[in-house]
Amino acid sequence: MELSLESVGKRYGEGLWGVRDITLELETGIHGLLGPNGAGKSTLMRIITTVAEPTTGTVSWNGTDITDSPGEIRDVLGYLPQDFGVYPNLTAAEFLEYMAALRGIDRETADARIDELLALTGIERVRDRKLRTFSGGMRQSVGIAQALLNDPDLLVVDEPTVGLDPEKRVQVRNLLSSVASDRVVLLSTHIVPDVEATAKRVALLNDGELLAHADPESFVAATNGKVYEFVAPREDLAKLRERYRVSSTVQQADGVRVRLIADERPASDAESVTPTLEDAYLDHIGPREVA
Amino acid sequence: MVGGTVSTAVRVARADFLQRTRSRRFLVVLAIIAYIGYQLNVGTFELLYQDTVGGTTVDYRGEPTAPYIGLTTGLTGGLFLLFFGYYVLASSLRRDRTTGFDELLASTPVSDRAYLLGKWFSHVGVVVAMLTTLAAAALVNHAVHGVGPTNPIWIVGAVFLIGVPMGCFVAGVTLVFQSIDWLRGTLGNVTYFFGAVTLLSLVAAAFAGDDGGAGSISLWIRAVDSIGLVAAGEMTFDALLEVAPGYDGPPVANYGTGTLDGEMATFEWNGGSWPAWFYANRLGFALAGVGLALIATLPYDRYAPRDESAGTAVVSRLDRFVTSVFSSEDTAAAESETDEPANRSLTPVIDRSAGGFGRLFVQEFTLLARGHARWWYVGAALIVVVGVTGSALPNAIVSVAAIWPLFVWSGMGYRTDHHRITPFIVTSNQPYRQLLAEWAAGAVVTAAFLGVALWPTILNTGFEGAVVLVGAVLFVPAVAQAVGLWSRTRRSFELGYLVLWYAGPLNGIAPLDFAGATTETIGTLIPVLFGAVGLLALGASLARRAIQT
Repeated sequence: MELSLESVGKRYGEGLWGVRDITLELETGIHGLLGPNGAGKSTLMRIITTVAEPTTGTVSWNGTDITDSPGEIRDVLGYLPQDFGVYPNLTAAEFLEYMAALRGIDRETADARIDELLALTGIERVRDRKLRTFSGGMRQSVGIAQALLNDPDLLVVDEPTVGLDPEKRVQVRNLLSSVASDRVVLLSTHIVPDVEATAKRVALLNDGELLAHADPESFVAATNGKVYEFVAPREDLAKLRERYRVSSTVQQADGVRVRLIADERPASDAESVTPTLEDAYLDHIGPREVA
Repeated sequence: MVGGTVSTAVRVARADFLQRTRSRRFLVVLAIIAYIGYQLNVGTFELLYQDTVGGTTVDYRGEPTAPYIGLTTGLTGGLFLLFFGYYVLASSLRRDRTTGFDELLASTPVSDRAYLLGKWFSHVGVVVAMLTTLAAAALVNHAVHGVGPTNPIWIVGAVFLIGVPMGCFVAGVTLVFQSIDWLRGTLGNVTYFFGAVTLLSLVAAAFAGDDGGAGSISLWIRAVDSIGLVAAGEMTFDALLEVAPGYDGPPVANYGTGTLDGEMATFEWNGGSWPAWFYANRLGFALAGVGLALIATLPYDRYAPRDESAGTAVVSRLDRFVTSVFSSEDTAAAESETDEPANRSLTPVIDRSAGGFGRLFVQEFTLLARGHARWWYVGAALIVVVGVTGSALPNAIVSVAAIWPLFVWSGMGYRTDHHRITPFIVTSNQPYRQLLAEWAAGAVVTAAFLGVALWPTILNTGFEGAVVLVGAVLFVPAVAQAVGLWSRTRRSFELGYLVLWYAGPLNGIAPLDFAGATTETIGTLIPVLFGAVGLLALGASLARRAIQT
């Protein structure tokens, strides 16, 4: 199984590109798609899922151009859009049955998978409640369940853990990891630890362009020796934020413990620490602060 | 305090007005209005006095002078606002709910009064934009097609004198309807339509058989002269008598396209003073609009729970209460323990092309049939009982059976977009089959309602009667679906369908009777043509889906 993108671009207006010249090869496993707001992640996902057509370039699934033959990918696709809707008057089980019919799954298999996925996503007990009564997290679970309903070879999930509590977030990460061994999973998220915990490869987008596509280790390695931690006086924090990319701050009795990315040691007592994927992300994207 | 309210209202109005006018849909509305302005000048719509002379209907219309064009344009603007204004304006409060803005609004200290007044100002702003377009179109077209000098004061003045108060009134009604839970959806759209028809009919009914001259018009008729028909009659009646001294028809002009087979005569009207009472009438309509906006604050709930079924609020609350009493689950507790992925293996999917049309059809039928208010199901059951037993006049039961499923049809096509399901459908392997399944479900609903109403006709007329039913079954759901898909709103179909239903099945205008309420269409090409339009509409839906995919 392989998803290939060759020089893919999407133009929305004169000179306004959602994504531009993206070339990627995605094989089985989880591929994390990272980037700031407006980087083009959702546009790229819409192109891959055939919701939008690329202006330039080609997207191929196992060698078949999906713009010419969208059916090739729709047959094997599981998709969780970032902003999806449900029919509020249907119950969770009924909605999944509707999606199963749309995805072309026979009734017997559908019934079994609906039971299993409701259990896996933790909404088994509310399976017969109408979706309009669901909380945001429960609704998100329904979205994840529908994306896995057809046992997809290509699973595209856009911000799947948004609205979930920390425990549920970990469960979803585990779920994605468990299904990724024999399929291509494209995971777009702002939550870098989700990618760090699950992804085999990381693709970094910014301003519609692909900055990097590498395994997390080599992605992080590029930031080695650039991450420091130290305790700074509270009144210095603003200045530090102006000069460096501050990835985290922790209030302490004697000041603020600051973690930042810098090309040179920012203070005499600053200690060089092992970078995380989040540090590497900030290093690549530029001077943006993570709250 | 009042200054603060007005200041807040003006800022609310500004934002709302900008949001509405910066849309392509609003440009389409303005384009339609500009086209109407053109049609007024080339004589498609007229003020017509009608009389019968020697058994022949004679239509008297005015020469297209600037005052006459101003008057007819003003009447047209008023009529447009009376019938269509609600449907144009109603999106404002609805948008707050569909976009989730209402939740933000509920957390602000703005008062309901200031907020709804702001919405009312915005409505009036939209009305003024529409009237400005109409007046400008009438001015330009009069300069090209009209008779005599183009007097902008007469044309623009008439448009605004008639139109603005009407717009103020409709804006107020819109806020009241959109603030009342059960009037927010299809029921409100239908109710408004009949209210508008009733308001206009009051004037017409008062003149039925009245030949007493303009002076005999009573005060209450003048008070409810919503679009200025009585005032127009008073101003132009003398000009008519100059060319037709023996005129014996009603003292108020009819408004329309005239008779096709009658004679046409013209009179020249070069303007005059508006009757003093008409200014009071206009002020009354404008103030009524403000009053209605304030009244709307009583039922207005700035943050309504997400309940899709209009008209079931009380029952829904009762449902929720009963559920909460008898269920031990709360929302948080309802989320059960999650199976660890490693603990459970998923059933493999061997065949991803096994989704039969039948299953999709059942799903789509469920979606169409579910979620309506309980009174709707009761009404539907009554129609079935009355229809099956044949205990009502055929045209009466057909008319009712042709309007009741409007609540079902108007969700077609639009539902997938409204609930943001479209991405799931277009990325599935059956985007077209879903469309056909939805249409088939709508066709079954149509066949059920009209079938129980038309069965005596079909028994009596055989094949030709069945053609009427087939034509309607092809026509209604296909048009509903196509309009819903292309317009992405349910109001477009509801409004268009209401007008068609009012003229055709209800009033028996045979060429528009798609449902067979009159026996005149049986054995004619009319049902076949409606069926053909239905097939074209189905093609339009498929084309839309092709664009989406």
